[in-house]
Amino acid sequence: MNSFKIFITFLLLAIAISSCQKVIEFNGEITQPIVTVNSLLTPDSVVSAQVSLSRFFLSNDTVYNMIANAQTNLFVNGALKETLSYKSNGVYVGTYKPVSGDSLSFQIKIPGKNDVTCATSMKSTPVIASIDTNTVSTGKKTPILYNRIIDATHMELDTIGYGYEHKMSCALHFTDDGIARNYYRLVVTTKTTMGTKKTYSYSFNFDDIVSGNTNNSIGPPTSLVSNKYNIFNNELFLGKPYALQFSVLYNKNSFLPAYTKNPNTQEVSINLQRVSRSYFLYLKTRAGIKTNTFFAEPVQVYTNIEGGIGIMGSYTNSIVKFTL
Amino acid sequence: MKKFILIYFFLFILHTLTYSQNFTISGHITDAKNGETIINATIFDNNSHKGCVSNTYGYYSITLPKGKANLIYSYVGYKQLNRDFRLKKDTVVNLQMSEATELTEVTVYANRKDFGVQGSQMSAIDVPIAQIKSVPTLFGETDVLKALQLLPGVKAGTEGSAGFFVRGGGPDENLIMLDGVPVYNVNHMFGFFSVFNADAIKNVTLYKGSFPARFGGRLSSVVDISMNDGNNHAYHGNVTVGLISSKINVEGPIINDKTTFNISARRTYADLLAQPLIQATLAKQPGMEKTTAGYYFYDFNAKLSHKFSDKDRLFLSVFTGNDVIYANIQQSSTISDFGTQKTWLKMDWNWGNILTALRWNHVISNKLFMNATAYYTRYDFLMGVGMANESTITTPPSTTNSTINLGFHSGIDDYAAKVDFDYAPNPNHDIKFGANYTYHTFRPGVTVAESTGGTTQPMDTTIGDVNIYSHEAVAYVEDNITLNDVLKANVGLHYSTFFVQGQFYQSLEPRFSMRYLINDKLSLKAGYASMSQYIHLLSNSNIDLPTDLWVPVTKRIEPMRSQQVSLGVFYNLLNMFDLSVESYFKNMDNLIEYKDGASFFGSSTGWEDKVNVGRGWAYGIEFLAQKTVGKTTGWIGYTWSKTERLFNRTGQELNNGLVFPAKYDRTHDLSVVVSHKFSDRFDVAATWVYSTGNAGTLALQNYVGPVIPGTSNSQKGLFPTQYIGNMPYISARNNFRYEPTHRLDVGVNFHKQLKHGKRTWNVSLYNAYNQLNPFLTTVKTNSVLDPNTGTYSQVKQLTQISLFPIIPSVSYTYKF
Repeated sequence: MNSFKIFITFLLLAIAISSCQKVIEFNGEITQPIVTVNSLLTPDSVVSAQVSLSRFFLSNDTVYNMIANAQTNLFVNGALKETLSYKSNGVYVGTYKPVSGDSLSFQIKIPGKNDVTCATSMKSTPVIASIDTNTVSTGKKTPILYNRIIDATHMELDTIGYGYEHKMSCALHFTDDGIARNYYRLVVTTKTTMGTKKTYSYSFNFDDIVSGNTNNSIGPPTSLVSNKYNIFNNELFLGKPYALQFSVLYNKNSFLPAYTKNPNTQEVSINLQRVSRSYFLYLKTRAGIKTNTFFAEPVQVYTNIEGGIGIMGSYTNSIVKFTL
Repeated sequence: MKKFILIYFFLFILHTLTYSQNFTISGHITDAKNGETIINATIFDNNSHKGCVSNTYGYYSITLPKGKANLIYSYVGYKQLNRDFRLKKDTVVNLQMSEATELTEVTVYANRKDFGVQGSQMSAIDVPIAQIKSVPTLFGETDVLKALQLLPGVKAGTEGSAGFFVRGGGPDENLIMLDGVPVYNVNHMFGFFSVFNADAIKNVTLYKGSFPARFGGRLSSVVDISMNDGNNHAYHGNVTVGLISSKINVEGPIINDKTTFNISARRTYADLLAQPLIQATLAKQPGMEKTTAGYYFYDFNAKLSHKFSDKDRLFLSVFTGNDVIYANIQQSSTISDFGTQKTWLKMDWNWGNILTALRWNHVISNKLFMNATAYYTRYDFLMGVGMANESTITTPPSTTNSTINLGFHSGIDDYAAKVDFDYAPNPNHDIKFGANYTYHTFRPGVTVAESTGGTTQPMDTTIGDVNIYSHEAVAYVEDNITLNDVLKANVGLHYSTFFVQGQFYQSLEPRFSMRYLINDKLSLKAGYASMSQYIHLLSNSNIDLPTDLWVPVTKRIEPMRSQQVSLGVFYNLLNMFDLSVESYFKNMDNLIEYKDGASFFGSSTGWEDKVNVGRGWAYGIEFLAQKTVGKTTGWIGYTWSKTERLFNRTGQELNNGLVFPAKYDRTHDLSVVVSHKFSDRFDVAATWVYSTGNAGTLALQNYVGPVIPGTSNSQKGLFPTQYIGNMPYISARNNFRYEPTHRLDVGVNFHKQLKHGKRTWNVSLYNAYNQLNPFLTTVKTNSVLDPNTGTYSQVKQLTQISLFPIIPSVSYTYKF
């Protein structure tokens, strides 16, 4: 089926090339730049928002116009809390750290523009009751390669060790406290430290039924569904305890004796987020953006900005870390 | 509904009682030249001013009062026949009508008495095959469905494609029937040609609204295509050699006046012509040993008819058509200095229809006619790709073999039986009733993967959805009632049931149309039709793909429903011009649209999760002016219309729950079709079409998006300076209008009578003034020279891709 898709794409390309192209004038309304507000709030950080202007799709500008003279007012539970200070790059920062249960809104005034408003509410923090893990070796072994400099013009690729792949299957136990729809996101971060160098990996297999992911490598490509931001809701466990299934693949590295000076350490951080509906819809639609829309409907990315575009969302974190 | 039924029965009994001493004249009407039955010939009694039309099988029945009768048999393009009777008993009159020599070359169009000023039926057009053949087309391929696109209320899809959209409906809302049997895939070559070979076809009727109760199962249109029965007097045929295909048609009697046959076949040969080029190109690659590859389509129509008696006839219709893509490549290479490797690649994709119908016509009495049909229709998409590898090592000597085979199979097939009755108790009633049952098998797609040898474990895996079976049953009754000299009505009920996966759906659909005759030249008509549809076609590209899948309704996705009202004025000017203005409003519910970002491409897995359910409506005015007689014939059709969708149910929102235009919403559609016969040796035809551009979705602004925490850029912070999210902002679904399309097609025919037949050279120009109509619009960044500075700069430009520039074509036809 994949080859068929390639064939169709190739055929269309061939038709397109052999047919006719011409540059045309845009005959629609040339829309004016729209105020863009992005703000993702969490109790762990002070409030911040970025304010900018969108640009016409045929504009040849390479940079966006970041707004430096906006008055960005934060309201908490309907009362003005503070006016955020401008830092740089269109970013405004306040001093307030939101807490669960807050109703938060921004009123943004920009000279020459209509006021822009947006709102979100901070949900309660999900509680991770426990995490069960089971780690097995997958049997895969990959060499760890290193470019050894021989002289000024030559390098040689050396094998300095091997990575032995392991799969850690996890069951994250938590209880949904909702009587209505709740929205969640799972973030799994693997931090590898080698000496002073830190690298982060965010990939894991989210194969729980709530993810909607499918793993069918033989079927038609469109049967594969990928939940890019690992979001889900409580439709299947409304107000009930739930054990979220996922797995992490990582390598246990074993270096050859000559290269064991800086052994690496790996730490896994499992973060169950409870996200606002607006943030959930934003992530869901943003994940659907495709550059080639011939075979798919274009995606309207969710926005909750009144008088503008962008996203004001919120999330709370519940994090468990352990060393591999 | 109860009142409606009571009123109908009251009127029926009243009308029946008024005819006490009546006798019936009945029989078949055929073409004197070839014995083909004539559909919709008019039979009119001058004394009583009552009339009827012949049915799909050329059968008619008219019951008149005892005494004198003066019947006029007429069919446009044929000599009118006048017969006097003194009715004393029921009489059978089989008539043969001859073409009117003074009108032989006249193109006949939509002049049926039951459709025009006189008839109660509206929103229907009868398109004789002669008219379809005269329309100039892409590559000179006569195309039934493309001719329909030129009619008001019918919109073409992508330029050059045979897909069409009727009164705001989707492409899967058209029921296309060949000899009463549904055809599921009506296209060849990704929709650029239809599967119907015009040489095999006798008549095409399009219903856009006011559907008679005998039709159902789709929301927007019914295309009723009848195949030729075959000449029962002599052997005839024709051979056409065109630019991309050749076709042949042969017909004649097997037993004179008893048994006839009609066979047509067509095949494209681009693959054969391109073979040397393909081989030359591929052969340049090192190690290439054998290469064949190509694409072709073919179709084959056959019909046998046998007349057992004047009361019994049997018809066997067969149609098969396929598109085939194939490749067979063999290549060898050397593995270092140790041996050789041979690889084989074989690809075979095949998709198309098979359709078989057996029909039995039986005249039960002179007032009651029966047609019983058993049929099988099937659409299949088969894809096979196989690879084999043989590696031979010389030192140490060894040979390893591996094979990989992948196959994909999807489709739909129906077994069905139906029985239809025509009952004409008196001239004021023409009653049709019947029932049918269909057993559907939906094959949503199965992938088979096999591998042997190589470094991985052998595999033999089948993945896919199981077949879905459903039962559809229909019963209907309709009556074409003449209430008085000015009022005529067609009332009917269509009842359908659909049972699938434990879910039962049913629908009772009233149908009604009425004509008010102001005078012989002018009438007003009104109609109402309720329709439902139990199947969907999953497809979301701009062209028809063989992977498009038919799927049934489910528990979650309920049947689509529509109600349509139409009003019209019909006028005949100087017996030469038929003018009509029709307006309509159609309300549609349970429509499906693909979610943002959804893509099918051959997989029905979880399709319910990829669509949203909502509603829509369409309204418009259609104007048609046609000239049906004289040397110059043709029509002007114009449609003003709007088609909108609203998906605002909770969890089913599209376009933020706001109204948006449907993809093929086009405000203006104009088509002009003209043909002129200069002499017996030379005639010309031209069509010009104009329409508002299609609606499409375009992101008109780009904006900055934040870094999403917990993703690869998140260590840079939420709003890093260097990071540009560059998000597309789409203000609304279908917020952009493509450029309007317009095009002129011209065709010229040169005829010459030869010793044993007639030859015709056809030269045609598609898109004669080379208008580049939009197929796709994309944004490209081009280097543009600034004339002031002499430097190049990168400029974003809107680029339009067009498919078909001016395309000349030529074909040669020999008719014997």
